Amino acid sequence: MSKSLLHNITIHLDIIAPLVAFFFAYYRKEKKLGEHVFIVIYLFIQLVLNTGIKVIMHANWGPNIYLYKANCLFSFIVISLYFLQKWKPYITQREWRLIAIGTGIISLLIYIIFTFEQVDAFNSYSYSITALFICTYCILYYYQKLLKPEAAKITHTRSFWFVSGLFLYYAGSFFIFLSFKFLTINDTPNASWVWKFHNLFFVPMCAAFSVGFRCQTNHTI
Amino acid sequence: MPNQPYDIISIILSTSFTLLIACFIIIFIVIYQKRHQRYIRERQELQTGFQQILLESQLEIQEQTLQTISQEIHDNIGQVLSLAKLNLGTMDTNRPDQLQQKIEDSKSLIGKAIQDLRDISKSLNTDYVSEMGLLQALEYELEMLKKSGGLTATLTTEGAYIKLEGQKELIIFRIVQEVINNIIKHAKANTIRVDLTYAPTRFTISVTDDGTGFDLSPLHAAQNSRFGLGIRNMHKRAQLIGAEFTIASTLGAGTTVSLLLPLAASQTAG
Repeated sequence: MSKSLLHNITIHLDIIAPLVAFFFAYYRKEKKLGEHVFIVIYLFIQLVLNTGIKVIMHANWGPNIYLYKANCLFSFIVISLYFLQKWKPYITQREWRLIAIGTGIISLLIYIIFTFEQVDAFNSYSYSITALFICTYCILYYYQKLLKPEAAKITHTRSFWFVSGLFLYYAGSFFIFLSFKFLTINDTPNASWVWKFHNLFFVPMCAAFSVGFRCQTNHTI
Repeated sequence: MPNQPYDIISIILSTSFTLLIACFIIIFIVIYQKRHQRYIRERQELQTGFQQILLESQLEIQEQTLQTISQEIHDNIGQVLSLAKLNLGTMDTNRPDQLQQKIEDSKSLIGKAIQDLRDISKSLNTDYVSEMGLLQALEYELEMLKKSGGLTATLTTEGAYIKLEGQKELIIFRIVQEVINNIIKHAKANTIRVDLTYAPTRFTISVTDDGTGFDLSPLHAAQNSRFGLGIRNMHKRAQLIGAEFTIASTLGAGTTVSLLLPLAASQTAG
């Protein structure tokens, strides 16, 4: 019984965790969001798409793979925008041009990946590429903070908690994303368990987001 | 089920990696706090250094101001008042025809001394310079120079006037004052030209004379020499406000001293 309850909770963690974080976002201490609005959008995307995935699956409304793909794409775009907004003051015009070219290339790559994948076939490699990019952003953030450690206490800043949450989720899930395709191709019986296990990583991420939303005005960066 | 261990491996790898990331974040916090302490210490040291240079410069300016006052009193006001005293001392009540003339002369001399004192006061008063602004203060300074005779002084401006920060304007004004004093004392010049250029991103001021000029090489050769001490001080003061100080001189053809101050976006907007 308890095993079944645990199983049910684990399955729905990708909805419960963002919902809790959303609650903290609503009752946040600092009302002004700034670039952190992208974190709220990200949570909203997770909440809507993960719920949609579950609804389609339980109601047997057909394939829901395209929702997974949409989740991957939108998450990547929103988080990229979040980090871009964060680095806006430090980016020169020349670098903006390079970023525009880079974004174009990445978009093309994503388009290729999505076009050559079948709509009803789940390819977790696109998730792992996204995770790799987001982890790189996070490492750049930490590096930048070490170069200019202005805030008296980094744990009192929203950015730190949001970036750490993202880093924990995407770095933790990276190997699952990378191996999932391989597991499904090889018909591993417990492959679905691996994906359910990945839902656990939503917990530290959303917990970190919740702490971030509790940060106060004078410490918010 | 030959492939079954792969899912376990995947889960183990992910969990271990997450724990590793969590450790990384904890280590990052520790390193960050240490770096922050160092960053604060370095910033405080920089601020202390800056305050020290500022104080040194202020003392230097004060010293020069006192020297100028003493020189002005001795060379100008002292002479005028001595002459007035002489006039009053040689008054002969038995010669009423001369008496009236001497009284008039003494009144005129004392009046001139009072005017000179006012001029010095205006020229040296920091508040007065700040209130008038750099452009007006320079115009006044050159007007005084023209009145004293012997030199032709002109002031030209290019671009729309931008009010700089009070401290910066004062330092620039004092540098220009010192340059003019040096020209009067050493250059044997007939004309002095002050050019101000206000561009959106920078402010330039140059003082040109047609005097004897001088050899700049000793300035670069001996750092500790007394020669060029004033120039070095001006250079130091310019550095203090983030300006670039340059000096170009040709023997027999005159000297040009320039000051280039980059302007912040907020200054140009204001």
